[in-house]
Amino acid sequence: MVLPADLSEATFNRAMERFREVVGPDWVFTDEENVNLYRDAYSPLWGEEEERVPSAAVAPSSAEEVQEVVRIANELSVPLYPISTGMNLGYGGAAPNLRGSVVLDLKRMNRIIEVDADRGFAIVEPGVAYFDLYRYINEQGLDLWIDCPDPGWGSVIGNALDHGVGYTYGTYRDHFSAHCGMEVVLPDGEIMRTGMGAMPNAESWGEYHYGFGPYIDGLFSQGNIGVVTKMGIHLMPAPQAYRRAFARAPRRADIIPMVKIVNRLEHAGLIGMPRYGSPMRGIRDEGLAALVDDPNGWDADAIDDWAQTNNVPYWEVQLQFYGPEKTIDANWEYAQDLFNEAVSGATFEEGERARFPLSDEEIHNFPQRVSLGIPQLEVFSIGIRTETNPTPRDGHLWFAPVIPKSGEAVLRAQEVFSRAFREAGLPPAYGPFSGPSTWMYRTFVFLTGLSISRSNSEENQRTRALFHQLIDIAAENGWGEYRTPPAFQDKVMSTYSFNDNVLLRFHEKIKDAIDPNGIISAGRSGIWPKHIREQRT
Amino acid sequence: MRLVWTLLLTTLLAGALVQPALTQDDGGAGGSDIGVPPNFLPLQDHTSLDTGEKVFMYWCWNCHGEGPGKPGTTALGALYDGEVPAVLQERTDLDPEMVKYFVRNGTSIMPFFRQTQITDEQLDLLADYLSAPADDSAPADD
Repeated sequence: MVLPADLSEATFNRAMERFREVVGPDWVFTDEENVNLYRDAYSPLWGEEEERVPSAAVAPSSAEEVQEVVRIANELSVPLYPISTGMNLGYGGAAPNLRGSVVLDLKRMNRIIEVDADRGFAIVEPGVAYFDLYRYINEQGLDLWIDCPDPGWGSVIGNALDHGVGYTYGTYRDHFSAHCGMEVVLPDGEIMRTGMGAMPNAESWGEYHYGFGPYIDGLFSQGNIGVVTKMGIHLMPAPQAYRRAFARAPRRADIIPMVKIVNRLEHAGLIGMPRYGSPMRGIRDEGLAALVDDPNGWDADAIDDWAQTNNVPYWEVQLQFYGPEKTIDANWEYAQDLFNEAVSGATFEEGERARFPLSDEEIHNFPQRVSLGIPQLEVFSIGIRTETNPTPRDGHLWFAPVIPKSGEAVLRAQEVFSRAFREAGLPPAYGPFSGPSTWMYRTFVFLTGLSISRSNSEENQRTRALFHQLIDIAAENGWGEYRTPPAFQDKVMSTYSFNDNVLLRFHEKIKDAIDPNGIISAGRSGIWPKHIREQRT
Repeated sequence: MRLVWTLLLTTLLAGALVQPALTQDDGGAGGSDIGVPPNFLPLQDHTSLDTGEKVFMYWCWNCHGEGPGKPGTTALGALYDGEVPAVLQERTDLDPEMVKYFVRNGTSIMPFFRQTQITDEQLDLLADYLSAPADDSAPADD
């Protein structure tokens, strides 16, 4: 068993005994077999001395039990690491930042407190997965959609708190932005409600974010001064219809007007999430491959010439329209007008259409179901064994720098990150056809996944070194990660360094004031409690 | 397949309202060749799932079921190349210990599952369900 340096085995055992009294003996896990299930299955430190492994887990079933557990932990200075469903794979899973923390597993708190279809919100507990909320809405026949991230088993609360994102329309995709009101257990065990929830008998907790006074919900996102036990989330009305369509542009530089047009459409609410790609990526041609894989780096002009000569569009964007059938048809026509004005040689193609509700069979066969707010596990196709990939991965880390929402930034990021991999002597994860990820409503993420191994720690060490380099290179260009696994959170926080890291120093002041014993998620986002900061220096 | 499950959710919060009983049939897909309604299991407390089939549908089907976009099915199809069915429910060669091993250890990109997700008792039910003779474990038609 691994314990933090300043926690004795006797104190740990006393805490476990008292936790058992609160949650029942079945819901405190101290045996190796069960504690190991809280390791991060995609840990880049798997099996190494520094792997962020917990010492135990405790799983309360109510906010009242959370309060009791937190009070005991605070009294005995036992570090806790709260998780909702703990399925944050690629960004850390269930494992803590601080080795030896006790995981506070909230999966059993799986109640859907309220769903209001007319006012468009739900209030849920942390163990409620997107699958659960989707099922509930369907079962009740409510005229509502959820917006879900890729893995449907993720927590509605946990995903929002980690700034998770989805695939449908507007700011619904930014799950923290769509959240509304929280119930939080503070490190001394006191329970607090934010927004309108601070008012006893409030009727609009799920509707109005701010209540009155300074808005503090952000302190609990990627934060470590409380345990969120309830949260509201805004939900969108089910549209009458959906259609997707593709616009293509012939030249590499056309990404610049393309993004301007798509931004205009999106920021005016005429489309949902756009999806960029390059038809060039699918071309299998020796001449093109020689240009792309040039050991001295790819030459953008030569590749652009190849595209023109071979009449392959360089860029494509999938546009998704949600709303009344008449309106979305008109919006697609308008979008084509904009492209025809600004992009010479633009071409178009129709994609799937749908009118809701869909039958189960239609849902079953609909491609890209997350675009319709239907939770899936399809994303785990990344890295699995297939006919062309006989050696499946053991998991992945997401490197996720935020870049500007412009074509110029995409072109620059391609070159910067391609060079980084080339200079590291590694197979390229970025190239001349890499497109931006578009979950955020107001910015791009230039994402890539790096493989991890559960059997080769040398490979993981190289991957970690590269990950650190990528963080530095991104920061030199003004790009910062929006989210990262615990192994890299100190590093990422160190890049948000304006005015001598005043942001981190501010967080530390709050941490010390609200959680003086440092019992909640020590080290989360690089924010360590005072006694550990002193040990580390 | 027709599943009719009724459940009564217990009081949500001390003094708060009690949810009404929820009744759900199969969502209208009966007669299609899908076999199970997509993404659709009647709402219930996942800790109270009390048959192997329910546990499978809640935790496994979205990756290991039949149909497009099921990574587990794709991966097993590539691994066995037709020697055994890619869909877990159609397998006849699984034994309970093997099922339990993969649930608690994961493999490749499949993570392992904790007691708060699938209890040991539920894992026994799941393991029995997947290792039962195919005729008994396949979902029955109406």
